[in-house]
Formats: sequence, structure tokens, C-alpha cells
Amino acid sequence: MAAAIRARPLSLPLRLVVLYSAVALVEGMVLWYLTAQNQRNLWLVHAFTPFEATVLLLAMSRWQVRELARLTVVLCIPAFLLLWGILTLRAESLAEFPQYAKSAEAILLVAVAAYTLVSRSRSLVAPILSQPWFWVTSGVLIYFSFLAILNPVANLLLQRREFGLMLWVFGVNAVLIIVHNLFFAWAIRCQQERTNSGGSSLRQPSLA
Amino acid sequence: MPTGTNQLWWIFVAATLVGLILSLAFVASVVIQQRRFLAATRGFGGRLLAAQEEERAWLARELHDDIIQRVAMLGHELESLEKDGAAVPAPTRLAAIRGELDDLAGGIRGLAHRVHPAALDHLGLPAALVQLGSEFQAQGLEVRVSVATGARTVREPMATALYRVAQESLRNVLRHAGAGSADLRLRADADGITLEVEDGGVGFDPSAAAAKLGLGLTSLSERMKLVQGRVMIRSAPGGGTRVTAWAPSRELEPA
Repeated sequence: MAAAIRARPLSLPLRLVVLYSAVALVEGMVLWYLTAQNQRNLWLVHAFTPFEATVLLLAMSRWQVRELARLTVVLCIPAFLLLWGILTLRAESLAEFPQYAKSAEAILLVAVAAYTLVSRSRSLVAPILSQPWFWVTSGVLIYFSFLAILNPVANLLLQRREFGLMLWVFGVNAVLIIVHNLFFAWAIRCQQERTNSGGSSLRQPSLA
Repeated sequence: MPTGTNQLWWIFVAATLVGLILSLAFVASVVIQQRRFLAATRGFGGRLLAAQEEERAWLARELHDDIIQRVAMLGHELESLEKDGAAVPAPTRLAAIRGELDDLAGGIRGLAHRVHPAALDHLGLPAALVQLGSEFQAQGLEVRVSVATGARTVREPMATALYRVAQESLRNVLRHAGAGSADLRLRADADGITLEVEDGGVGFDPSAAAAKLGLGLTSLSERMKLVQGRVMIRSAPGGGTRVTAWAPSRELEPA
């Protein structure tokens, strides 16, 4: 992925996606380090949620065909941040997984990804599999539809102290993280190929 | 593993599988739909280019085989007048040249009208439809035109779209229907404006013909879609054909 990034300048949405993946990698490493140090680390999962939602919604807002849709997705960001603040202060515990805020974030991202996928594909007159936005929105759709149920289940297992099963659950999570990052890497590859071949034949404004 | 936890584990597995299958099915359906759209667009684009080339070839043939030949004949005529050396040419020869020039002007006007009907710009859709009816009348098809738009006029580009629907439909009646007459109706009401072309000819089976609709009908449908309208075709073998084009009333404006 790093070689591809060096090869050509990326569009803004893809740069945001790369930023998200890089920060998610750092978050994962810090989580692992804190676990190894036998320290509490779930506060980091709470803290990462607003960043994740903001960056991914911002990236997908740039891929909207209609101005009204773009504005709606952008306005979802402060609305979600407000909801996250309220849920974190009133309903969540920093010692547990963020089950309400994370599920709300996942549902929001899945809805925006599905809308982006359908609205952009409707008038596209080029192969959809060569579009960066297709791979990013598909990756978001697949991973976050799983994430909507991950944290409530993880909390229940934590309360029952079923650590063996939690390992399995987070094993599935790790596989899907790899899959959605592969989708993101493929999106970058698609843009590199399009840049090399001189652009696209999109009827709509090309933002990717 | 306690029973409750066991149930929770299987619920998680089932929910994960259902979520993944639904997500993948959704993405796959988007890909399939887009591929179909792409194939249809490419097919339509190709046929559109072929039709454009065909129209250009027809125009070139008309210019070369008719107009240019007649201009050349007039040139010969004038040359022979010059060679005769008479101070005043015979009135009969001058009259023949004038008649030929009138015919030529008529031919060029007809060509220009086929490329774009000037009556539409200058007189509006109802008058252009009446003129269209007369043209088909001259080719042997009796066209009964009725217009009921009140004091309202049809805006562009809707007027051109409806005119082309009428033109293509009448052309189809002449070529394929085997009917001696057709009705051309234009009416406006509170909901919108409707144009109908109906004949009592041989008709066809629309479900069988749907997959292989000619460029004419396909392009009419596309043209009406571009102006937020639609085209409906009702036909049955031996039962004639009715083509209806409809557009919303916002395409109408007070005269």
C-alpha cells in the first residue's frame, strides 16, 4: 500500500481512508501494548469511535453525486459526535466495550455506504469494479455490518468472563479488519491504474 | 460452557453469517445491476452512432443524387443560353429555369425540415403537427390531426420530443402497419400533456418485440425520459397500434 501511495498523489477521500487505516493500526498496537502491560485499554476503543466515524463519513461525503446528499452526510458528523458524547457520558462505561455508540456508528456508516454505493452506481457508465469508491464503500459495508453486533456480544462475554469465546469473536473481527483493509488497498490500486491510463469515463463528477 | 453462553455464541455466529451474507448479496446485486445498465448503455450508444451515420449517409445521398444533379442541370441550361448568344432568351426557357429553381428550393426546404422542423420554432407544436400530418398525407397516409391544448403552449425541449414521437410513430405506420390512415391527437389537461398516434393496422406483439425494439422506439423512450416524460405502446396482432407519449403539466405554459 505504501508503494502505491508514493507512486501517485491520492484523491482526498482516499487520503482520508489511508489516514483512518494508519490510525486504526496505531490504535491496535497501543491496545495490544496496554494489554501486555496488564492495563485497562477499553477507553481507547471509546476514544477511537468519533475519529473513525468522522474520517469515514468525511471520505464518503466527497463521493456523493448530489449536493444535498453530500451536505446531509457532512451534517451527520456533528450529529453523531453529539450522540456519542451523550451516550458515552450517560450510558457507556469506560471499563466495558462501547456497545451503544459503536453500534450506532456502525449502523450510520453502513447506511451511508449503502446509499453511496447505490446512488453512484446508478448512472455510472464505466466498469464498477475499477472504481475506488466501490471498494471503500463495500469494505465499510461488510466490516461495519459485523461491528454493529460485535461490541454488545463482547460486553456480554466480558460480563460472563468467557475469555475463550471472546478470543474467537475477536478472531472473526481480525479477519474482517484484514478483509476491509484489503478492499481499501484495492481502491488505492484502482485509482493508481486510472491515473496511469488517463482518467475515467464517468458521466457524473469524478471525485475519486 | 454454560447453556446461556452457548446460546449467545450461536446467536453471534448466526448474526455474523447473516450480516455478511446480506452485505455481500447487496454488493453483488449492485454490481449486477450496474453491469446490466452498462451493457444496455453501450448497446444503445452503438445503435445511436449507427443511426447517426445512416442519417448522414441519407443526407449525403439526397444532396448528391438529387440536389447537386439539379443544380448541374441548371448550370448546363444557363451555359446553353449563353452559347446561343441571344440578347433576350426565350420566355419559355426562362420559365422552365424558374420552375426548376422553385422545385429545387422546395427540395432543400424538405431536407432542412427533416433535419429540424422550422415550424416548431416559429409556429409551435400544434401547427408543426398539422404540417407533419400534411407531409404524410402527401406520401399516401391519411392523418387526422386533433389538437386540444387550449391557450397553452408546450415548452422546449418537450415540444421537440413530442414532435419526434409523432414523426417516428407515423413513419412506422407508413412502413409497417399496412394502414391507410392514422389518428394524431394532442391534448392537455391538469396533469400533463398527452400525444397519441393510433392506427388500425396489422399491429404486433409488444412482449415479443420488447427485446428487439428498433432504435426508433428506443430513442423515443430515451428522449421522453430526458424530459421527465414517458412513452407507452399498446398493440396486438391484427388490432392496430397506439403510441402514447406523456409529459407532466409543468412543461406547459400560458400562451
